[in-house]
Amino acid sequence: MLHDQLKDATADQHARLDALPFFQALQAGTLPAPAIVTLLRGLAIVHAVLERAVTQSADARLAAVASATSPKLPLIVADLERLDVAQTPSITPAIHAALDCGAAILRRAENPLSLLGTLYVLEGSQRGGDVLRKAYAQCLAVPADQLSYWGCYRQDTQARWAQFTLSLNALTCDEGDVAAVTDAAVRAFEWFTRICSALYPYTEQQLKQHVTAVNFEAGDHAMPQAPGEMELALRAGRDAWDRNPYLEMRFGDRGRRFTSSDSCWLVTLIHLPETQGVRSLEWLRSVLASRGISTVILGIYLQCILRLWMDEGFGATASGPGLARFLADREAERASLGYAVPVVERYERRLARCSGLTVPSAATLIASAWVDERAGIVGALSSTLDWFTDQNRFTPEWTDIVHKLLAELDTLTGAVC
Amino acid sequence: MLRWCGYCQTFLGEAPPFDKLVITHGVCETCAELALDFTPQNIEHAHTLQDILAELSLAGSRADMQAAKAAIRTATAAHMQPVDMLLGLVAPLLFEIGEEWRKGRITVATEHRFTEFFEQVFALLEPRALALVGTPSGATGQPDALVMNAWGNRHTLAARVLSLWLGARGLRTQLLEPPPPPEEVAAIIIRLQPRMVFVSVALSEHIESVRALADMVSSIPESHRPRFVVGGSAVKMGLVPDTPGLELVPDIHDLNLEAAV
Ligand code: B12
Repeated sequence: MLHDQLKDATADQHARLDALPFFQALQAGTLPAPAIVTLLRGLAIVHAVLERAVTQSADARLAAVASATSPKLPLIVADLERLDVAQTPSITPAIHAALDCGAAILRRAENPLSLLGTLYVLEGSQRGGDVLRKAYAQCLAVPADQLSYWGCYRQDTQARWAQFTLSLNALTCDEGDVAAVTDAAVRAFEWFTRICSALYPYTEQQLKQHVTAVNFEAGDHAMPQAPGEMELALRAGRDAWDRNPYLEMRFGDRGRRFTSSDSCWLVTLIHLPETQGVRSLEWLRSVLASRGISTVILGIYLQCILRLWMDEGFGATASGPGLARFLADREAERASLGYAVPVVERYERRLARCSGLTVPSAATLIASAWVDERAGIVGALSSTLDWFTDQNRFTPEWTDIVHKLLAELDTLTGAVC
Repeated sequence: MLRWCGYCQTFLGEAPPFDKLVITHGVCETCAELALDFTPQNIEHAHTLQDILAELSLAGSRADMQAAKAAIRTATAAHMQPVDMLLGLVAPLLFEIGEEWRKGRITVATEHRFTEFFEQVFALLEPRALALVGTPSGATGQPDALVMNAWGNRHTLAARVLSLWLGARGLRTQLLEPPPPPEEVAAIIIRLQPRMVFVSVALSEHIESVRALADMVSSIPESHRPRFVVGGSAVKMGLVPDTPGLELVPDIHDLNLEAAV
């Protein structure tokens, strides 16, 4: 039976994990909050990768087992929000281990059996149930019912585990399959051993703001570390998000998270000299524009950041010369391409009058994608246009106006050239 | 474009336009001294290299290790050295994967799978390159150069390639992978007094830690202080500002190694 084989194959690793100082401190009620918060962040990284890969896999065996589980990522996100720990720094070596673990899962994601092994380990970790939840809550000094991830199945824990193992045992597996699943499970235990060893004990120097605390999918890029800068970046990100309803309409929660992490990265650029700041922004511009986020949006982010930066008195430390120069360059670029604000505004009004779904600032966003394409970002226009001309989303009248806008922009450039 | 010596099949570096993976032929210094002329065989070689590049790229997209091994065999038969294959074939393909991700044409998952594949190709070639170098990286004794990744840089391949490439040029190198804590590296520098310290940085933020390291060893008298040479994607992309005490080298082929040996 696959379940027994998994249990046997992972017994040693399991015992090694349980014996770590991390779990001793947890049981003694002395595990410090940053270790628990970082663990939740690490789990968010790992579950995000795993759950996405499982959903995207077309493998019937994996689907059969996965249907006996429920997604854990929303629970982790909710726990982190309820704990209100946005300002708590992360223990960076543990986050790096979690990122490595996520990358390892991703690299083997094409083999569904490998995903199955990881799923087994994570699902099994829910069995500690109530005991674990209470222990974590005690260390954090919060009521146990404030935590939803650990022991998420509550009184159904045993029944759910039985159902899960039943679905595992129901699979038809040859020797090679069993080896692939058990190998992945052993690896998963090894990763968690690495993560938990890094979590406790830790040193003060290892505590840093890490981008995965604001977006578990952001990977590993620069974060503002100076007091107040991260908070400012998040506020600027929220302002920019509110000013661009398109982002929510198209990208939803994931977009909101990337807005936060990108905004943090942008704030770090304030400290760069002009040339390097501009080059970094040009790189991000191409990344975003290729994904349907035209440069006018990046411009709004930068304006929100610079305004807050100056208003809050950070200007004395650095003035963000690259950011200012990048904005000025974009204005010059638009002018050189014959971009005419009155024309775009005329289309804005026409689009706003359409029946059915409308998107605020649609004409500006499309025109900006058109500029991006003309500026050499191949595919920028289609990545925006595909969404704005989707017939399942918009009326024929809307798409017709969008096409007319593009035709008029093309004529304007013709006039300038 | 990727420039290879038309005579001895040594990788000579990249030439603009950088985003086009097209093989072009130049002449390396040694062959230039022999004042040879291009022959039809040289032209034939250029085609072979282009084919090998295409084969490897296809192998990557299909995760077909057997096909990759076959491409390596062809490259070996065309007298290419393993370290040149790493620099002139594998690195450009990885660069291209990064570009595809930047342009939104492949997902992070696909990018990771490609990377995993080329890491395996890398692992296949590394021991062969090491065997040819003779003094393995990481060897003890007095090294001419230390090679390391900047702290926080998760792009680990460049430092390994660099170390092999330097070894192939006669330098005794010691690869610090993963890099020990800064104080330890400073102590190693003070103890071993290498002539050069090579650091790879992939993102602009990685340079901070290199600056700090250079400061830590500033107590060494100037005559004995190593040259700090910094390269990597961030330097290549012009994202690292000039910094006193650090030499920024965008392309490995621009390195001036005279003082080191
Ligand atoms: C593979 C890869 C990864 C892998 C690395 C796996 C591994 N084991 O190494 C993973 C997935 C971990 C990764 C992570 C990230 N990556 Co990455 N990655 C790459 C990729 C595709 C290839 C890198 C590589 O190994 N190339 C092969 C080596 C041999 O080439 P090389 O690094 O360029 O080195 C050559 C030269 O630069 C030079 N050189 C290198 N070092 C030195 C040192 C000296 C002294 C000298 C003289 C020369 C020299 O010699 C080498 C041989 O020619 C590059 C694409 C690219 N353009 O480089 C992106 C790239 C570097 N990554 C990028 C990004 C954004 C990231 C992430 C921030 C993504 C994220 N959100 O998490 C993280 C950052 C992680 C971190 N903190 O370091 C961007 C960086 C852009 C920027 N603005 O700085 C790139 C350029 C992709 C792109 N086109 O946009 N990445």
